[in-house]
Amino acid sequence: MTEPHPPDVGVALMLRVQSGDMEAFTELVDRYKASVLGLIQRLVKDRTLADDLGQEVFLKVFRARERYRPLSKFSTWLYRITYNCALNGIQSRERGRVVSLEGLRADGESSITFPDPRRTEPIDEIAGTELRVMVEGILDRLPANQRLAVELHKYEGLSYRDIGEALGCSEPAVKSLLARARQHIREKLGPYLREKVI
Amino acid sequence: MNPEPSDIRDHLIAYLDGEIRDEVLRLRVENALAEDPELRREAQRLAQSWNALDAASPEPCIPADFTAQVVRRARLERGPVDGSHRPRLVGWPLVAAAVVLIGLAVWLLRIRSDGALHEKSLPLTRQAGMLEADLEVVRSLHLLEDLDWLEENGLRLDLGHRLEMLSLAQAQYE
Repeated sequence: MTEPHPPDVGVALMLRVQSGDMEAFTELVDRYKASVLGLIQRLVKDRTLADDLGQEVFLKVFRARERYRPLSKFSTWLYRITYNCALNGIQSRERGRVVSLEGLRADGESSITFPDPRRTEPIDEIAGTELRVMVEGILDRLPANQRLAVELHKYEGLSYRDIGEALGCSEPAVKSLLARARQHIREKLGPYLREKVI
Repeated sequence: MNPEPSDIRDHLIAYLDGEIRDEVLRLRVENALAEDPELRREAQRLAQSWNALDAASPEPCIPADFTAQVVRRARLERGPVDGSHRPRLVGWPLVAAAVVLIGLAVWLLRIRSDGALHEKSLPLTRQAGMLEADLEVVRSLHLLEDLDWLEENGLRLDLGHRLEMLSLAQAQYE
């Protein structure tokens, strides 16, 4: 016997929004704001810009209510809007400044400080903040589509299929994106990984 | 036949993510892991580095009034609908009002135009009035009966013709 699909709360709320129910829109924003803001904040690293983009995401959802069709999971559709908004926001910000000085040295190399690989402590003993800076540095340098795939899989728990729908690419393409991204992350963090006896 | 290690490595990450739905392929990866200690170490490194990403996942900072702000902006924007750009029902009264106003303007112009015509005909009446005394005189000649009959039957005479008829009546009277 096949398990029935769990009801998609987002779809149900969106259909109510479509019929003009503002209470449903309030509930929708409340339910998804953490995911949307979390993703955008990790991507743009600018609280003010992230808040503006987060609002823009939900306003786009609201404006699109009349042409909304529940063809996929609501969260997938929402992440697609979030992804496009974040990308536009980042591009606008980058156009606004000639050179990004954050984390770059004059020779173009990353100046993000990694722990000395000769240090012997494994990754789970590196101080939280230091590890966070290190991991964020690695993620920031991934190509945009790899970065998004990692974000959606790791932090939002989306399947390959849902990531494909959100990013507008095939499932094998997502598999390839994640494989390359994870290989890169593993190489960068390799020196700090604790070797366990297997 | 043992699968090529590189072939298996291509599927290792999908296997760790629980994303291999092909049962045969999944068993091949599991067999390779069971047989190959280096592959197991690689799987372990991949899992460890993936777990390390948890460090970069702080709780999102959500402004206290985020929902209220979004809903307020949505209420303000409630008019236009993105993508469709269809005229909404709220626009129809405006269109109807515009049609009524245009109709009213046309009607008023016609009234004024008619008024102007009347004004143009006033001098005729006045001039005819000036000759009223004469008309009384000539009425007996029944010429004006012809004039009235013409007007009653929608045949308006211009001032020239009317005066011409009156002159003719006067001449006959004299």
